[in-house]
Amino acid sequence: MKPLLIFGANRHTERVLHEIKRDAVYEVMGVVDDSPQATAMPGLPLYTRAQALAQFSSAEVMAFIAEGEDFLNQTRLGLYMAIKQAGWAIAAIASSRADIADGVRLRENSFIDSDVRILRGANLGANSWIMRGSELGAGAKLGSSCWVSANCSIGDGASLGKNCTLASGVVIAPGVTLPAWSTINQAMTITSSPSTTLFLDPRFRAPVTLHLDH
Amino acid sequence: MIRPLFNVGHYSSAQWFETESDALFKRLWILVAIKPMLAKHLDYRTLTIAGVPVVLQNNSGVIRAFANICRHRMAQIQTAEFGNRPLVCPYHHWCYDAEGKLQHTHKDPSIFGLSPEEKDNIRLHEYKTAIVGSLVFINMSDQPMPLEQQFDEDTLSLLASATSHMDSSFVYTKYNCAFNWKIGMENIKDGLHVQCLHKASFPDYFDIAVSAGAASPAQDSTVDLQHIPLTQATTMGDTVMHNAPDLEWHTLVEQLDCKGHYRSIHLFPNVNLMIVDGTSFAIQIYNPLAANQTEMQMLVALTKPKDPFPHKAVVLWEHLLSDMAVLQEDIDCLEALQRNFEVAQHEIMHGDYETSILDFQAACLAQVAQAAS
Repeated sequence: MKPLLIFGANRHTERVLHEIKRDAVYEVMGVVDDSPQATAMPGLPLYTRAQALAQFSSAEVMAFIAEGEDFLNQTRLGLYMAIKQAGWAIAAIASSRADIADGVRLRENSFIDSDVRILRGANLGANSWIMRGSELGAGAKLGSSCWVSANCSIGDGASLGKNCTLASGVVIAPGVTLPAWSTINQAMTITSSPSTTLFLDPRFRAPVTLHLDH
Repeated sequence: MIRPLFNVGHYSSAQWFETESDALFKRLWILVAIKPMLAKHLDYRTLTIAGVPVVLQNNSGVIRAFANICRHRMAQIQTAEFGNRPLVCPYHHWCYDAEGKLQHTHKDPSIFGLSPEEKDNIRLHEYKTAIVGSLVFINMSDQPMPLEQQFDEDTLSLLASATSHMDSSFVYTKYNCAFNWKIGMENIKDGLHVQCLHKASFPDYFDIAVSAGAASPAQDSTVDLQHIPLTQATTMGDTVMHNAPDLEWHTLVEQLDCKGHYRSIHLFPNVNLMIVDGTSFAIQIYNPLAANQTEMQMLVALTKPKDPFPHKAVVLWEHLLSDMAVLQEDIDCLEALQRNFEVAQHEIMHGDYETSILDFQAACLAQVAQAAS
C-alpha cells in the first residue's frame, strides 16, 4: 500500500477515509490540520503541517487534500496548490464501489465516492469531487475544482466550467454548458446553458449572475 | 415628533403611483446600468422604467437607450435581461441600426410594401443617456433637463471619480419586493433601524450614530416645497468603520481615499450607492413596478485589481451574501409594513431624527408640483 497523508481534518475526511479503508490501496499515515479546532480521526495521528513536513518525506509519501466546497471550492484549491508547490505528489481517490468507464482519467486530488457512475468519454478536471450516487454522462466534462454533491445527474455531453458547485439532487440536462463558478445550491433541473455565471440559491428570490471580465 | 408629509395613500394609491411615475421616473435622470454591463459591441441590458420596456445597447462603444418595442407589431426586441445581439426583432426579423433606425424588414422587402420614405421614418423611440464614471443614466422626457440640474457639481465629480475605479466584473441580482419604492428609500435613510433590526447581522465595526436631525426646511409650513432645489434631494453620508478587518484581497485592488469609511450616496430619486472601505461598491436601485411592488436591483463590484486576483468571484459572492442577509431582514420588515398600510386606522409618525426622510418626501412632492406646473 502506498503511504498517504490527508490534509484536512473535517467531515469530508471521514468520507475519504471510509473509502480508503475499504480499498487497501493507500495506507493513511496521519491527518494534517493546523486549525486549533481540529480533532484527530480515530486511530490516526493528527499533525500540524510543520510536524508533517518534518516527519515525512514528499518523495515517499503522497498527499490528498480533504476540504469541502467552501468559498466556491477555493479553500480546497488553495491548500491543494500549496501542498503541490511544496513538492508533494497528490493522489486521486476513487471508491471501489464507483462505476468508472474504461479510459476515464482521474486527475490529482479528485475524489469519486461510492455508487458514482462515470460513463465513457467523460473528462474530469483536477481537484474535483463527485459525491455518492451521482452520475457523469457520456462525453460530459467537469472542470477543475468542482463539487458535485450526492445524487446529481450531469447529462451526456454536458460541460461544467471550473469551480462549479452542485447541491444534492441537481440535474444538468444533456448538452448544457455551465460557465465557470456557477453554483446551483438547490435541487433543480437546468435545461439550458446560461450565458453567464449563474448562482441559484434559496436565499435569493431571483438568479444571481456573475459577470466576470476575463 | 415631526409630522410626515406623506400619508398612507402616498405609499398605496395606484393613482398617486401614476402621478409620481410621470413626475419622477419619466422626467428625471434614472440610473439604469453600469458600464461593465454594456462593455462589448452589441452588449445590451433591458429593464422596465415607469412601465416602459427599455433596452440599452452598446454599438461600437456608444451606449444608446431605446424603447424595447418593435415598430412593426410592438414585439419585444431584446428578450433577456442581459445579452449580446443586434437590434433584430425575433418576431419578424425587423432589423434596426445602431441609431435605432429601421435597416431592413425582410430579404424580400416587397412583402411589406414600405416606400423608401416610409422606411426612412421608422425608428425606435430613443431616450437620452448620460454617463458619469461607470454609471449609465437615462432620461425619458422628450425635453430632458440638464444632468447638472439634478445632481450638483460635487456629486457628479465624486461619482465620476469614484466609479471610474470600478472593476469591470460584478455580481447582480434583483428582488421583486411587495412594498412601495419610497419605503425602501426611507429605510436606507433611517440610521436607527440598523442597530435595532440588524443588531445581529450588521458588522459592529460600523459606527452609525443616531441623533435628532437638523431641522428640515420641510418642517416649516411657510416654505414653498416646490422651490426646494432638486440638487438638494441627493444626499451623502459617511460612517467611520472602527477596527474593520483588513482582508487579504484588499491588497490586490485599488484603494480609494475613503478607506476605513462607509460612504453612502442617496441619488435622488431611487438609488443607494455605497462605497465600502474604499475597496468595493454596492448599488441598490429601487425600481417601482406598482404602488406596492418594487424591483430592487442589487449589484456589487470591487475596485479595479492591481494584482492578479483569480478568486475575485468568491469575494463578490461572499460580499453579496452578507449584503443580502441584511437586506432580507429589511425586505421581510418592509413587506409586512406595506401590508399594514392596507388596514391601518392611524397615520405614520416620525421622530425628530427622521428629518432626512422628511427631506426625501419634500423632494418627491416638489417634483410632482413642478411637473404639474
